Amino acid sequence: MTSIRLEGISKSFSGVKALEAIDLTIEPGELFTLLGPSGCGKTTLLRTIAGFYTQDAGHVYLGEECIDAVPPYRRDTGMVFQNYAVFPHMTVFENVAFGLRNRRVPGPELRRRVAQALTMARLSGYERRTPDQLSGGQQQRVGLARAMVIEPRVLLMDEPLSNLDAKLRIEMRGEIRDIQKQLGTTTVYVTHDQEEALVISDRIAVMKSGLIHQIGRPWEIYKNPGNTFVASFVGAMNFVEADAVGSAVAALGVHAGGREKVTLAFRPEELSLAAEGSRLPASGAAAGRPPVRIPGRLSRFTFTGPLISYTVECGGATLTVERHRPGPADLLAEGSAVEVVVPPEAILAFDSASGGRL
Amino acid sequence: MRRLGRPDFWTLVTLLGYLIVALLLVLPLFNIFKFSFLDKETGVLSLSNWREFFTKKYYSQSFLNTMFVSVGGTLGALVLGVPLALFTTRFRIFGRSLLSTLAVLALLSPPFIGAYSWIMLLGRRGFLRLFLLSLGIPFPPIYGPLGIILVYSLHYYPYVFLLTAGALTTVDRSLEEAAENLGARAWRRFFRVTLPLVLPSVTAGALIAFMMCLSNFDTPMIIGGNYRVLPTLAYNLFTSEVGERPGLASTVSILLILCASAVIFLQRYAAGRRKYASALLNRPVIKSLRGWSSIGAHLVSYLIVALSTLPLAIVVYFSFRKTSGPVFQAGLGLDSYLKVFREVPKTITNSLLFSAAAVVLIVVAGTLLGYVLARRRNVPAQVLDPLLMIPYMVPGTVIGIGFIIAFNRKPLFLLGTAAIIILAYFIRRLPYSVRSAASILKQIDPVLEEAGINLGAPPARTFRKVTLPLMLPGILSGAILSWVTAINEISASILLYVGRTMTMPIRIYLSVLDGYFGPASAMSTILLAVTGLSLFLVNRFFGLGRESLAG
Repeated sequence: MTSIRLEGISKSFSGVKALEAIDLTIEPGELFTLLGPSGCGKTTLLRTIAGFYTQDAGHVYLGEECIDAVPPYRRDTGMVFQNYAVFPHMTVFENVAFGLRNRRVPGPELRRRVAQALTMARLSGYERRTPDQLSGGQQQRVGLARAMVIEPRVLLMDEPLSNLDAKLRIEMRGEIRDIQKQLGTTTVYVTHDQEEALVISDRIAVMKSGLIHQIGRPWEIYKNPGNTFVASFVGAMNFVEADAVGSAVAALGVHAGGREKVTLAFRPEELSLAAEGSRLPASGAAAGRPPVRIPGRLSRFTFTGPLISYTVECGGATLTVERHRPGPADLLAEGSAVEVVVPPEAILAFDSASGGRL
Repeated sequence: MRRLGRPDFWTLVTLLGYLIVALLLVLPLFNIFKFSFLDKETGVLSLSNWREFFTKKYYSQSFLNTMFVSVGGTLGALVLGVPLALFTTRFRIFGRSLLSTLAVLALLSPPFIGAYSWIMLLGRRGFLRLFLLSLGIPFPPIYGPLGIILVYSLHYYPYVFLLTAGALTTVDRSLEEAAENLGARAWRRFFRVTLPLVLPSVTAGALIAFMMCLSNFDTPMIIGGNYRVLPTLAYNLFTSEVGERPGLASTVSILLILCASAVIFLQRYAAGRRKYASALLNRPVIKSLRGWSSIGAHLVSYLIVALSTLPLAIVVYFSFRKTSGPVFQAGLGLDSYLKVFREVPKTITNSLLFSAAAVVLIVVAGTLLGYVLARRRNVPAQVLDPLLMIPYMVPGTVIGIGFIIAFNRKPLFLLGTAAIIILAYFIRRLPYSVRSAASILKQIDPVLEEAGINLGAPPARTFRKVTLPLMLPGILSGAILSWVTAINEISASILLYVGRTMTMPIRIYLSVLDGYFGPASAMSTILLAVTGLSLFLVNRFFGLGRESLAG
């Protein structure tokens, strides 16, 4: 089990900054995810650790060893690629054995370890197949087995599931997590899928424009986003610009600190709808502060099976409200007048100018 | 992307590339350049060669001659190539793959075989001409510009045919359907939609044909009579026993290079615009013709291919005719072959050995350099790229002249050796090999190599274990095509050979000059057999890629 330490990593591509002074420590045995939209620098950072890119400034440490000058083929990282990168001219067995052969592992041990890795990746019996005889999911399992079998110091996964269909993706992310925990190999996982990141990670770094915006456990990232970008990128979020001068905002427990404007945010699943002018359920009053009621018009009604998603036009803002486990009473007509009920404890406040959390 | 400054295996390959360019291209070409500016009397720098070329009609006329036969040959190639492409791709033509194989065989056979075959048919004593005369139809001997244009057209039309056919099969059917849906009738559809879409490819094919006509040496030498073109002029000026003029020959060489460069430039431009092929392809429909139109389409297609295959058939036939000295006798026999094996077996082994040696060099250097150009986008590789393409622009005659000037003194004395011929084969074919290796690599995802490296294989081992096996089919088919061009090469080797390094094409050429058509036919048939067999192998195992032929 090895830690990864990045110190002030910067990288530009023909003048465009891809990474700006990234500092990051990944703990031994951790499954650490780099999450962000495309072009945020997450893959660049991963490839810098692998040695495929050389940073313009900064240092990469594996454990205590600085690996800046170590060529990629000696870094002892196991990489899993987005498009599998399974060697098409080799059988499954030869693909998995490739790294061991480079390390001159003797025959009997090689066969034992390949068999073990294939078992772990649920590919036993496929040894003699060639990649064109495998499905996408199976090819990615070969990619995974091939990276694991060398028992690398760290595993690097570059959007390993993004080429698979939705159902397989959910199945495989569970498998990857199980295998990673079983091996205990420090793993850096790159994805743009926030749900995948929440499910799979021990910790997440949310990136944008070459910068890390927040590092934290999935729960923290979701429940306690550090700025509006993280709040909007991870999960769905409603934003409302609010005037902070009066007492209305202070009444919600938001400390505006002399700002004129604040951005208030709340997640769709925290909200509920009430018919205009109706009474509130008693639970709202129990929390101390009364819930906020925002009048509006239901503009779109979307039924997805487990939940109903309502889009409500409230003055200038468009809010999304989710009703889980809906019943017949929740089948509201588009165009009807409603009130969005916001519990005060669900409200997150951000500086409107900087996007930072208050 | 790449870590600059850390030397590895590929740095070495890049250096090797520069060494090849310096020794086999820069040195000979620089010498030619220098010679063209040296006065023949005084040896000082002067423009006298250039002045002489452009003021003496004897010389400048050959420039106009070259243009005339090249334009003529190209137009002929278009007239033959475009209809054949259209008919075989859009209509159901019985035996179309046979037609296309025969066209490629005609293309890859040496032009001089076609040239002297036409002499046997329509030369002064050509039997077809004599037959026509006996019917009372006057027919002038084929020697001269019309003969050259005839041979060029029939030899180079496959370039137009292959590129046009390729484009025609990648025009999205929905485009033509859209035109039809909007009310365009068949002819209008063809001229307003289909033709404009394939025009860049037609142009590219025509320019390659033009380029080949421009630099061809053997056809005008054999069938041209006294009609001088630039390559034959350069050859004569350089080798003439009385009053050889290396300076003037160099001037002619440079003119040839300039013309060729202009054509290459145009060709790249035309090819660069060939971007219409769509990825999500609705293949065009192949229409079944009925009645007269079907007969007409078949007739035209078969006639074109038959005309271009006829010279080869004639040669094969005459190789089995009995001979007595230079005169063909009635009846069939193996006289000519026995004569060849008895008198000049060395030329056969020379041809095989030199070509094999060149192919090994071409494959190794071409593959490694192709890798550098495709995968290393650093400055040295980017500079090397256009340098390695220089041989495209240098006709074989010019390579020959340059090699003689460059390698006639120590420490690089190579005159009269097999090495100088092998190196000429090598450098002439190298750009094709580099290009084809690079284009194969473009279809191999670089991420596979990253996976290899990530799993602990250093760059050279990754290349050997991952990249090379994936490239192998393409490399092998490229190697066979290189083999075919090497074994048929004449325009450089005819300047570089001495008695003991004579090859089959040179022997054939000399036999034709001496009027010994029998042994020439036998040896040509051997060459054709080697060529045909090689093509068969490529086609059988890899399929003929258009880019490997058309560069």
